[in-house]
Amino acid sequence: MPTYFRLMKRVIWTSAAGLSAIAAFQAFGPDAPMTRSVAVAQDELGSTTPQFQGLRSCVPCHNESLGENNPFITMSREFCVLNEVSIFANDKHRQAYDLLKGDLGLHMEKILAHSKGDPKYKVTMDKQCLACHANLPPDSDIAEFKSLEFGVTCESCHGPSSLWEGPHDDPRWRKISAEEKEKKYGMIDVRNPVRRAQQCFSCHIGNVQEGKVVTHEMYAAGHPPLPGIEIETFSQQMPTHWRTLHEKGEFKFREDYIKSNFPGLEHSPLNDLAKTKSVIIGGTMALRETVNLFASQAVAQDSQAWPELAVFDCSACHHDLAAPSWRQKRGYGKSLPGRPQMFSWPEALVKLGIRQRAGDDDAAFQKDWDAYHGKMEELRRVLDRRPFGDPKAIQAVAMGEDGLVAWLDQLASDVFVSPVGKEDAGRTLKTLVSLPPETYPDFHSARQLVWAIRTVLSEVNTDMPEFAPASDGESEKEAIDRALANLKVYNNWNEGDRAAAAKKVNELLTQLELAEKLRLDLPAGDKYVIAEQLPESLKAIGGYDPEWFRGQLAELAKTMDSVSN
Amino acid sequence: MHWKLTFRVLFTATAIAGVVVSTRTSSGVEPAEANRVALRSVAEGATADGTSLANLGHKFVGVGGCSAANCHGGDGTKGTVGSEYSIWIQDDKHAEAYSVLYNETSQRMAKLLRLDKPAHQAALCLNCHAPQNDPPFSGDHAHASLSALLDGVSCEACHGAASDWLGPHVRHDWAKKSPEEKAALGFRETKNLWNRSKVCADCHVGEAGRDVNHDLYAAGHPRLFFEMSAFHANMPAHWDRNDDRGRTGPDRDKSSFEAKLWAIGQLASAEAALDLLVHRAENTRDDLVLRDQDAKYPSGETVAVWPEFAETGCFACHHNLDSPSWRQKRGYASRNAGGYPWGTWLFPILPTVVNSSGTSDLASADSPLSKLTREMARPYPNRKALVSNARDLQAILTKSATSLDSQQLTADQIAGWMKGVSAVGTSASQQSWDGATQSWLSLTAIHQGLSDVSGTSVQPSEKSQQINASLEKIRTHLEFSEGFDSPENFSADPATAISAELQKIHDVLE
Repeated sequence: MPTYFRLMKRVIWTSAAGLSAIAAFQAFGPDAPMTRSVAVAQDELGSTTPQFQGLRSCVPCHNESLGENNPFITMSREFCVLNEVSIFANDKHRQAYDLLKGDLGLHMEKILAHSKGDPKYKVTMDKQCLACHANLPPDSDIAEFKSLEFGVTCESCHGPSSLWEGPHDDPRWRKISAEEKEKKYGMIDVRNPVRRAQQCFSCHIGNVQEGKVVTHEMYAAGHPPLPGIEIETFSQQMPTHWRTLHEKGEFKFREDYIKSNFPGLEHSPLNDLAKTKSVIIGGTMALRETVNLFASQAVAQDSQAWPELAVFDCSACHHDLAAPSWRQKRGYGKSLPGRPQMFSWPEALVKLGIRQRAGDDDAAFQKDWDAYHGKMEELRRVLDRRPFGDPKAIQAVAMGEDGLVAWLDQLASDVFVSPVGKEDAGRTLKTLVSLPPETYPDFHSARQLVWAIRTVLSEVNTDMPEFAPASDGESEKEAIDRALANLKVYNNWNEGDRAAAAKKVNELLTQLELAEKLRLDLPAGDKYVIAEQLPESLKAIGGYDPEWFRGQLAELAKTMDSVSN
Repeated sequence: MHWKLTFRVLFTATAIAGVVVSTRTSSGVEPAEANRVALRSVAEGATADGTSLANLGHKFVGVGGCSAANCHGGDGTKGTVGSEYSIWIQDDKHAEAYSVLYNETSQRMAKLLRLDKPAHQAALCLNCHAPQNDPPFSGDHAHASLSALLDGVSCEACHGAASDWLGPHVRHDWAKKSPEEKAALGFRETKNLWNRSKVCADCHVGEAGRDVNHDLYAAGHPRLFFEMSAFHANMPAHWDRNDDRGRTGPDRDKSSFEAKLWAIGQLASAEAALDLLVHRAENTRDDLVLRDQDAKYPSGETVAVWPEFAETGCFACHHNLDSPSWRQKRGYASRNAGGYPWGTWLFPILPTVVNSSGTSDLASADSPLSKLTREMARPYPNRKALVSNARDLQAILTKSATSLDSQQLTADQIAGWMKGVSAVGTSASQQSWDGATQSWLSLTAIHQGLSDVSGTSVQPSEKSQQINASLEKIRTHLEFSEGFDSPENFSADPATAISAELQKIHDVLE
């Protein structure tokens, strides 16, 4: 089998049609200056538009079962483990398409067929479903789409691979800037925490431009409610099929790679606490994408699209009426009673980004914080003007030149270029445990906080391993041997030190009831079905008590240090 | 809680109303057709020649003008003519309407709404809780004395501002005055059941200036859930109920009053609700910005907002999300999944009443009711489109009421309503608690009417007993649990049990 795949790959590489893409790429050479532009990328059929090829094109290389001695792939092992497909086999994303054909999918189909007045309606033929469940681009033809039955697969996140599948395993590919990789070849830079968050949130929050929108009609038909998402927690529980830049150890062209793929950084990203940085950026991007969805929905061309109830907080309306009512006792802040509210959870972690940008400069922080609050207040003001708000004003406040989305974009990119070390992680943790009660009015907001604390605390409590550096004039064989040795170091550290630190943190959260009551562990992987857990998770969401959480957070602030090494 | 109490009181009151045996000579005859038209005009706020009543400047004189011992302040028991004021002040909750504006809920409501005045001074509240003039409301209660306000909903709130009829109505020629003449003096006729229902609906359903919308509900106002026959039976009567019984036919011992009141009450309540809907649709203000700490909500009148959630069944949204979901399992009938169920309280039984009068088929897909329901199911209903449908439907309801009012109801006709309601209720109960409760209230009232007409009120027939048993079973499924103001337990099982009882009632009548 390995021989077959290798052969097939070679055929593509050297085939006449494929030559142009390769030739364009090879023009780079190891010493070619980085600014030189790539000739127009083409695939073997001469197309310059990136196409989805399906999981099959990735399996030959990214499958551990091919063994370590495959000469074609081992050089790449320096950069990536090549077991990604076998890890992905247990990833819930793999079920995404199949779920449409499951019990819940069929039940939704029945209700939606009735709703739409189309007895022939099929969820598997509905672009609104396939946009997320098979990452179908909005303008594509379902019948022609090659990647359908694989659900959410490699290309869903990494981008359509027809133009980059050929060149991407050559080490020289690392020298091309992330921007070019995406614009010319269609490869999405998921190593950049900003871009990665955007990519994950396009489905997990929604994105009108990409046709990824869960509507209230879908929810009413039975789609499970989208939970709040903390990017690192979701990534860890997928589980991850990658290593961070630091965890990779040294690889060929690393310095060039860093220069071209981490634009704007004045420090080495190798010194960053990558997960902490991702938590902070993810916290900012969650609000960014929520507001983007909100504003895009508000001015969508289809007059039926607004107000789309699904972008409002479910539990603001969906609650049994208590007598006496604690909501009325609590009040509605500055809002008028009786108006649909935006979700709270996307706001939960924004303070981390603002704090990170300001560092220890309290005056700068306060100025930033006030600016942020001013923009949120402005958004709420136009939202309160009437139920569901004034769509045009929402669009202006959110998407204007000086709008909330632009402001959050700037914040995310400022955090991206800032160094995030242990001191920053410490400040982040301090910020998290001292967040005021208005930050966690509901289950999802509270869970964002605890998820962030868990990730940051685990990372800050684990010292990074020492990887063997490349020696001068190292041969290819020596490089491969070093890469394999570093992989072992990584695996030992991952299952040893890091797992131990994570376990300590988890034990603390379990002692405090947080793990269970906030359901910190997701029904991730292919063993669990989200729909089957809904009876319990909806109860937990409905039973959340902010007072209880306030006590837990205070306790966590006191005991947090006890788990450090 | 107070709900349970209401239901219990209501149930017994309706039953008792039927067994009261007349001891007085009936003076009741049906108002002549001409009178009805005139009275209808009064309800619309215009005299027969079209002059607006608002400009005539009738003033409230206060209960002091009525309560003299020789007039309406006698010491008779309930239903005694001459003791109207005494009965009202002792037993009627309307007399407490103003004082509740000082309680914790009212104060909190004013705070949450950021009213520019406390509840007991805000016209927004006082227009119902202590009206001082007839509509349209000036919004100004500053001139009102505390003693006038303290009377809450008093005589003139229902009978009209008395400044110009107080004197004339005690003179010998009052009885000879035409309804037009009385109306011109500001007097509101309440003997006609349509007018009476509309008087109640002014506040209990709402109208311009008396709009309990979702803003007010979220601030803490209890839900309005008006059903004429139930509320009528619950109100401590300061009039002789036997007079009412005599007005629906020559034999007041076999009176169809309860059934007729129910039917006309259904029509009038829905008609009032449509008026309010049109008011809301036409008066929406998008400009009211309340984000600033200092911005106050004008206390003169409820600010109309669109969409108005109070038009939609409360419990369609207000339920905890659960899984498995009985709603999803049940499906959404003719509504789109996730769409708004409009008019779940006042409209589910309406087609049964209207269709029986033969004037129109409201159940058909192109009836104004169906069109309105479809438009209102959208998250942002088109205000222009619905106004004409609402007006068409109002015309149908008025016509049905006129036709019904002139009819002598027969036992067969009333039994037909019962069968119709129990059949509609079987499916309405599957859709919502509102549908189930409205069916139950309606059947309770119609059954009373049927028993009266059939002469089985005092000694219920076997069929009657079976129906009562079913109604009692249904009631237990409708109660809210302790600590809740919504039917938190209402799901597949209770809905199915209620449908089964409704089916039994239907079968008993076959």
